[in-house]
Amino acid sequence: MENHLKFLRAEKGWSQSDLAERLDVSRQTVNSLERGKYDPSLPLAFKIARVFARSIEEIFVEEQENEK
Amino acid sequence: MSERIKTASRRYRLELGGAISLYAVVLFGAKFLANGAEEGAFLTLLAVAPVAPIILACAAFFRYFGSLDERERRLSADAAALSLVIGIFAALTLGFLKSFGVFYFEWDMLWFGPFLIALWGIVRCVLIAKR
Repeated sequence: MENHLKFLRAEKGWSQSDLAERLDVSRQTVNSLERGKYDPSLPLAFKIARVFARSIEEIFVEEQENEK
Repeated sequence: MSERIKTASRRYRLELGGAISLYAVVLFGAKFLANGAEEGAFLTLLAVAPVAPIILACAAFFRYFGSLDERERRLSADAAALSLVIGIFAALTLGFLKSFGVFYFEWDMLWFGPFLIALWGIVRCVLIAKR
């Protein structure tokens, strides 16, 4: 799932390690999240939203399904 | 990496290292004491004694597994499931080859556990590279 994590992190001037510390995850997980390779669980998504003081919808971009 | 995960990782290395060291001591001790021992309860006890430190190693692993973040836990669990399937296929294949008289695989069953663990490590690396 595409997201604006990298941009939001850069806004705050945080490294991936800084964000990992705040989210209580590994740096590799932050990397996977930013690259869209891993979709967070709901609790983690809420945690991310809280850390950036944004809503989940502002951070994560829902993939549009192809219309039939 | 969060400080909590770093601490858990450090504790895991210590606990696992301790369990493996204890395993080596118990194994060699049991082998030494078993020399010349007669069949019976004592020999049986010596034979299964090395299993106890392995249980400690497993406990250390499960404690560490619980401290991983959700992505790491999922990767480890997926790798374990895939390794189990591959291990079962390997055992079945070798078993059929043996029963049909094509190939005789006479390795000690002791090595099946380390084989699965090594397989899990390899599969985990492959999954990390792919995801």
